[in-house]
Amino acid sequence: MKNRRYLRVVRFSLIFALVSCLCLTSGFAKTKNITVNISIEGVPSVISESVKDIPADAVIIPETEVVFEEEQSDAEATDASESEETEVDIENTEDTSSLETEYNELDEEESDTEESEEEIDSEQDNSDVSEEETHSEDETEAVTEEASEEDTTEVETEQETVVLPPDPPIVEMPGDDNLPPMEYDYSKPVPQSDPVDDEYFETSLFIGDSRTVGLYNYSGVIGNCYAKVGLSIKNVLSTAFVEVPSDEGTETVTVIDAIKQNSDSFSKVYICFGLNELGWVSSQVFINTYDYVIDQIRELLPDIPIYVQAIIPVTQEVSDENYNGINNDRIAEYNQLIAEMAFENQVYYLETTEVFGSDCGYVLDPDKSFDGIHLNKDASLTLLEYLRIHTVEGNE
Amino acid sequence: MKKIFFALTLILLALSVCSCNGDTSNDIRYQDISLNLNDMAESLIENISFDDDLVALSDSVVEASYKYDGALETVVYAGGGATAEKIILVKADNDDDALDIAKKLEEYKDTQIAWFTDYRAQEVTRLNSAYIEIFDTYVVYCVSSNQDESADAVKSFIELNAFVK
Repeated sequence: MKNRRYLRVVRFSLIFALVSCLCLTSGFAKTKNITVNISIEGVPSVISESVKDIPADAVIIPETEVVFEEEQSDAEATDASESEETEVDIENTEDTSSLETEYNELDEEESDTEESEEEIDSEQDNSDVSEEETHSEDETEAVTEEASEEDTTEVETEQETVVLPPDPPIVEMPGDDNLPPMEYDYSKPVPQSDPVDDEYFETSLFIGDSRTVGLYNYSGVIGNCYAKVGLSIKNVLSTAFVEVPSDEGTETVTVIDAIKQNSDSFSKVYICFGLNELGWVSSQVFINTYDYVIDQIRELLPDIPIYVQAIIPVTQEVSDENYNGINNDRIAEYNQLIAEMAFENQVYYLETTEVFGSDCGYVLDPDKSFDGIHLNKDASLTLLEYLRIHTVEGNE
Repeated sequence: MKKIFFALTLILLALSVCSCNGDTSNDIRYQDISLNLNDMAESLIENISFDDDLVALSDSVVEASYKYDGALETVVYAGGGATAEKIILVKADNDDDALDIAKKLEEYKDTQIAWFTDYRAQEVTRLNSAYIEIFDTYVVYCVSSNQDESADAVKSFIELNAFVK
């Protein structure tokens, strides 16, 4: 009899302990890795709910990635999961494209803008169906030919190289402290100048991808940076990732909206794109989109200098891997197009490859990067010094 | 005999409660502490294996990009944009602020996951095992390849260097 009673007591106690343990475990499991001081009541559930409740405006539109032709066929052949990624990318492309279309519709007056929109759409089509590649390439060539007629620039579409006229036009600029001398040769990279101080960069706006993020992190002097990893020229205008002050603290907006809110804060803009676009089927689509982005920024910031940076090469090892079309031949091709686009748009071309690619050909020194692509701290500071001694202000 | 059973049951219950309650929440070693965040960050850099070269971000960069309501001091170490590796150490004004900042860092982690998913998917693995922890009024965010290593390094530093307020 006694034994039965003891057994009941023990059974009851064990069940009670087990139930208590389960209850507490389920409560604390929701806290993920956040450990909360036990003195604060009700904290775990607050955390778990709030983590799920991320504001809608904080949602980041994923990077749109157009898979390079060869890469795509490799992926299909080797890995089914990669094919799934491609499908996701295509969906993202549609989302991004629709948002960019909204931007484009705001600017109906400019026919160039419409052409650029068509180019974006044609790029999307390229990633979907290979048969349509020929069509979009034709469109690209047509646009290029139109541009060449206007600017008397001879374009060889087969090689996608442009022969510039020997004597480029001298552009007269209105007098302004931020603008270059009255005569400026946009066909050449910005020449070496007197160095500017840190204060110069406090009013600079840097827009770009992960390499710009690295420059921002490592330099310590850049005042404004609208950059994020994986950003490309195609989604820079449509992706909301810039945090700006708002009535409710901060809100996440697009680059365009952020510039609108802070347009008085900037005295020059530095743009760096191209690395994430090397896998695009058409380099001409890249440069036309770049051209469109510059138009949009210039519309908001009409009186300040815009610098576009060359794409810094990658190491030989990375180039040989040719992942997502990242190789130094492709980078050289893109840089040629960026230089020509800078000339046509009268923005300043910074040939940053001078300090990173010239020693041993068009190749990044492995000592300057841990992954062969992104610059380490020393190399980032070298890049900053290059920017410091290549300004139009310093040439005045 | 009956009393012994009851006593054993109570001990079992108490132990089960303790085991459910995480690592640091009621650990007296992590209460009422005072930490030097710069020293802590440097210690973590030394004792955790990072692929990227993490450096201290300047005050202006921290002010622009890592500003949290209720934060008295923030120290951030970041790399060159290639990886998601990062150390963010925040000293909050009080327990509630520490909690809010931890929530912000959870959101930040989710945003980073969204960014890296289409860029470098391998970084998502690191981010999913991000170490986010509150110690008294201090919040620690550490993304590395090894969460256990991060946890050990953080706790070791606190146990060795935390001065009682």
